[in-house]
Amino acid sequence: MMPTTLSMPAYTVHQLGFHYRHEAAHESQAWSLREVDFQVARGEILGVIGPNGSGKTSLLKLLAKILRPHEGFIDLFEEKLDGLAHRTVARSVAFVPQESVQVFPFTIFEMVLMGRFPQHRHTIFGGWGWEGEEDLRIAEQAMTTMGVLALAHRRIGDVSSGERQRVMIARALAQQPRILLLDEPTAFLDLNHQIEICSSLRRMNREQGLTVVWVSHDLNLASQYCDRLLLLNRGALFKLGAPDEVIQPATIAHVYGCEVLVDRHPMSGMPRITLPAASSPSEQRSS
Amino acid sequence: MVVGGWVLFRQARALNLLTLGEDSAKSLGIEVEALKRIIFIVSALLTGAVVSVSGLIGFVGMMVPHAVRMFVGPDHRLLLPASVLIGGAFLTAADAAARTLLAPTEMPVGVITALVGGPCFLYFLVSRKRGLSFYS
Repeated sequence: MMPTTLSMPAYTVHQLGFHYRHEAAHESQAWSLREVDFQVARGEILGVIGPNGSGKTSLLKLLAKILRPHEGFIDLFEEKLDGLAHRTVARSVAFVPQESVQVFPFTIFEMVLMGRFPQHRHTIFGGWGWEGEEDLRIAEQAMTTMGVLALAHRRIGDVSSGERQRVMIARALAQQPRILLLDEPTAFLDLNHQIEICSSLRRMNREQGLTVVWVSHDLNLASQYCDRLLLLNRGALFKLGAPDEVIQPATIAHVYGCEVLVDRHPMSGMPRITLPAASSPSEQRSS
Repeated sequence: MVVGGWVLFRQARALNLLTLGEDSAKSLGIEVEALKRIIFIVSALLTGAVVSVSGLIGFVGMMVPHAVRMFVGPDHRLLLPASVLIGGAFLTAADAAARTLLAPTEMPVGVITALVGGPCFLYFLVSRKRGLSFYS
């Protein structure tokens, strides 16, 4: 399904560099990302993988224009991301953070409705406008997709972290984005919800052409559901390609610094990673 | 006052989004730095204008919005106007009490607001510790 030609990419990333500490910009290890080049094709699911601290989340936040690059540039549908207003970006790009804090007791319905904000026209009463019928319908649809409609009138502080995670995805869907950026969307989820979310993301990808960029530390899940994987190592792009090409024992051992077993998933045929046993049978015998 | 109030009320929906945190607010299309600057400048001007007429009266602004949030919820589109009305009503009542309780002597109205506001503030502080948070 992966488009072979990138005639009109969703994102073009060119020589991207980013660092958090300004005073240390001359030290090469202070850079979170450096010289990263890639494109995201329209309608693909791109998985971003790599060890902790390799720059996955920074990359995602740069794509969402939450952070700004210090080197290079990002094009969104062939327009400079830097030149676009946040509201314009938010009309086509939705971002789901890894963790979200909400201290005020909004209901889940109110939270999801907030996703409608970027689509709202600026009138003389500006930000005061109430959501219309259309907004309510779209929010309900998004909550149905994420299976949180039954929780609509609960307060966000009263639900579990897995439910909160699904609410955040529902809010992103309420933006009706063309591109969905997800930071570890399955981190707090049970197995069944992991599969449910991945399947519904893939369904929206296949049916509506939703482009998905998905940061994940779960290599197996990423290899099952992504068209391509982008492997980051210490802020540099280490490998980009189909899961087959990226998930290889030598590559993983080099980047993650540990030996793994790679075989095939019995149903999908995609690469599957198994961690080595804590101690091999031969060691146990000798002890 | 009217102009300043209008500017703030205009931002009510954006303020809701800002409670999600700056990253989420940005990703939902808020120009966070510009919004914060507007809110700071306008609310400082409004507060200055009001205090120049009334003098210092403590505990009203500290308490009323939190109390109102318990009744109307955290949506700033309701919270802002409700706080204006309830705050005004509360202060009128406090003023009436200050003038009549020790008649013919008048007490400063700040005494009444502090008498009511102090315990309320403590209550909010304690309930926040129990996890029923009202305040960031």
